[in-house]
Amino acid sequence: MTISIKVNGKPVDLECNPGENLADALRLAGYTEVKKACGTGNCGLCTVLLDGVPVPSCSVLVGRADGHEVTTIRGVEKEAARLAKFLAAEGAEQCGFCSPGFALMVLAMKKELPSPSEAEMRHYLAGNLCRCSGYEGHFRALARYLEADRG
Amino acid sequence: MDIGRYERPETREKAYALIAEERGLPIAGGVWSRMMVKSVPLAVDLSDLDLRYIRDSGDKVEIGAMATAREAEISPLLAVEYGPLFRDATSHLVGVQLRNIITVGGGVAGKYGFSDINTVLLALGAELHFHGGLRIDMGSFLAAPRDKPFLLEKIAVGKGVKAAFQSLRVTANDFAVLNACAAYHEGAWRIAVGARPAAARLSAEAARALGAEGRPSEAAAGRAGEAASAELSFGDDTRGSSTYRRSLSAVLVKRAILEASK
Repeated sequence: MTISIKVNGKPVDLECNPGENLADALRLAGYTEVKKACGTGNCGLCTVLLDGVPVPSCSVLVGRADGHEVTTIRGVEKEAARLAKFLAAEGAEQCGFCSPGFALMVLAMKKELPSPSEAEMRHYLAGNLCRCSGYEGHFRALARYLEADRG
Repeated sequence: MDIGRYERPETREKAYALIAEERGLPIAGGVWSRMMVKSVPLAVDLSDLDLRYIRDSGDKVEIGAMATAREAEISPLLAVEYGPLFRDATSHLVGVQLRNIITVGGGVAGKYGFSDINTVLLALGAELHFHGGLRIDMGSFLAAPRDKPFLLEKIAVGKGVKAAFQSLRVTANDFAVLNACAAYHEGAWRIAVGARPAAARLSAEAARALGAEGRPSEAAAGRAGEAASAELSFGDDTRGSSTYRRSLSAVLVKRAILEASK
């Protein structure tokens, strides 16, 4: 089947198997910035924004994305780069494999919760696993990043 | 998942025809089906049927079958009507991303034993509305055999119910080892226990033990918990034994009753 979607603002037609998930379809089309690990929606690595809403792309059947807009980390590169500076300053990243999904979730959280408490941040980001266990560094960086946002 | 044919109909009539006449597999959130079903000759995606809403219909709140767990978690309407009940029953489900695609109707239709929200809907006395006009209460639906194809459209929940949800998990975002919900409405209690690990069931004995008293004592709530424990059946799985679940049931039911009666 062929699906027509917008990826990072650009229209794309994808030839895919109807049983395929969105993460695999995107990666096969060259969007390898979408990472994949658990394949069950539990780890958050494959997070993309579907019409602006964060979803685990490994658990979305590709047909459901037909006619919709997908944003990968490349679609928010500028803002993600800004967040990355705070992560680097806190030594929060080790391998960086979870970063694309984490950054997209942080940006989604900012839209949904303009001024989150630490408990709200931890709750919102609970679906993003870090195999290096960098959580405390992530949250230190995030607190500084949001603080800088507020001026 | 291997899918032979994929359809995303735009009308409920067409969706129902595909499900009933061509034995299509309805795809709501699709998360569990994707993991559990290997081969599907025909998949029917329900996402274009205008079933994604949580709305006020006067004396009831209507939850569209395609409303997501996240939408139930943060719905201002559900929070006003039932306090933190729906938040408590949804916010442990893995992460926000997954809750953005898991649907309330998918969990109901699948009669999943691990479901937290099904336990809540059972205790609230929810009514399920199916395509074609059929309406069935949640308890009858959960207990009925899976023999006929159907298209669930919405779940209607009465207002004015005081209810509370309790669960215990091995880890914060895992399925519950056991869950319980106690609801009080117009002089009667409904006590539901789920993740037994089988699907949620009501305990008539627990409700009987409480009678019409809306603010039972701790001792009375404890007796109701024991009654639920004695009446319901529990099974073994990797999360807990039947013996452990039976003990837990008494505690969680008691806590839910006391919380609901505050």
